[in-house]
Amino acid sequence: MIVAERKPIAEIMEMVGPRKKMLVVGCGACVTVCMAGGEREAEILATTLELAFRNEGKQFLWDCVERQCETEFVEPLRDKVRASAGVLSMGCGVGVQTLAAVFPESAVFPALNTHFMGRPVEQGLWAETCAGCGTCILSKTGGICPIARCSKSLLNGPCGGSVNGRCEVDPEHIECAWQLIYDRLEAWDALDLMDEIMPPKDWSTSAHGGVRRVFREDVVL
Amino acid sequence: MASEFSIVAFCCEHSGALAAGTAFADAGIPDNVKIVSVPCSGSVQTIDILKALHSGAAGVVIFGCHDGACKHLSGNQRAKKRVAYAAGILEEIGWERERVGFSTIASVEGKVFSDLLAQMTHGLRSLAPEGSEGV
Repeated sequence: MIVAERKPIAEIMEMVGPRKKMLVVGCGACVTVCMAGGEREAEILATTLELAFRNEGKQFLWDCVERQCETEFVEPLRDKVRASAGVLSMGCGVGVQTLAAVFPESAVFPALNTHFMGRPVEQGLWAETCAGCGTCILSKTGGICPIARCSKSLLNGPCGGSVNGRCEVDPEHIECAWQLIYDRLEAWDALDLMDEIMPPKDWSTSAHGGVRRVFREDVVL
Repeated sequence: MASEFSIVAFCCEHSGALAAGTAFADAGIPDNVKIVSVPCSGSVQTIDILKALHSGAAGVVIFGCHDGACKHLSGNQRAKKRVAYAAGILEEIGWERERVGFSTIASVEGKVFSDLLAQMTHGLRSLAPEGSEGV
């Protein structure tokens, strides 16, 4: 899922500025699961902002769509968006930009900071697991991504900073991804993969070749 | 929720609500207190706390069971965390954390219940009237 966190209220209040009536829009997908911007959080933010601006009589309505990243799902908000002086999106950065694209005449602001693609590893803790590099090598690394989970994104690890399975960058919080990969490959009886030298990665599929696109002619009518 | 109630007390029906019954059996519930009985303190959401304040309450308190006595095992711990989260939100908008509170209590502790409410009422009187209807 895409993992995000609510921005500080002070920063959101600054975005509200002089607007008297705004619409807070939650998203029912990833940010609901990571408890940052779902229906519950949208109502909390709208209520909080009404408390914060109580003496100025500002109004904050709220709604939540199933997926804020798709035009079809945000389109039904049109009337509510038109009736507001601006929109506070509680979706990820994709959701914010979808709202802004569908309603170009309205000011749309992000109420969340979008962090990464990851998963919940324990209660209340989410960790990055995929960097979206565009050339997946998980088949060679025991299903553990060294690009996202090794602090140095090493393709041939571990480095000398791996001590007792922990990473020198932050031993308390970060596991050595290459130790995890070794342990997993050992469990798979596939340690021979550790001897395989991975060549330099083709980063043109990552964030180095301009805006990335995926096109499938077969789904176009 | 009526705005004339200056303190909203969400009370677990297994502990706080019974303690409230004992505390106010003779004199009745004080005018400034609204008792809301809930199945478990853990059923009170952050939004419930904020909505109570939005409706004009000066303060909100949740009474849950003592540790180890929660019928739903960890409802009281959830309530405590939600109060802390709500307090953080209030602090972010410049309101006092003291406007929200959590306390564990047993059904037989009527005196403790009324003392805690009196203490909270006293504390709220010393705060600026953030949209409150007065205590």
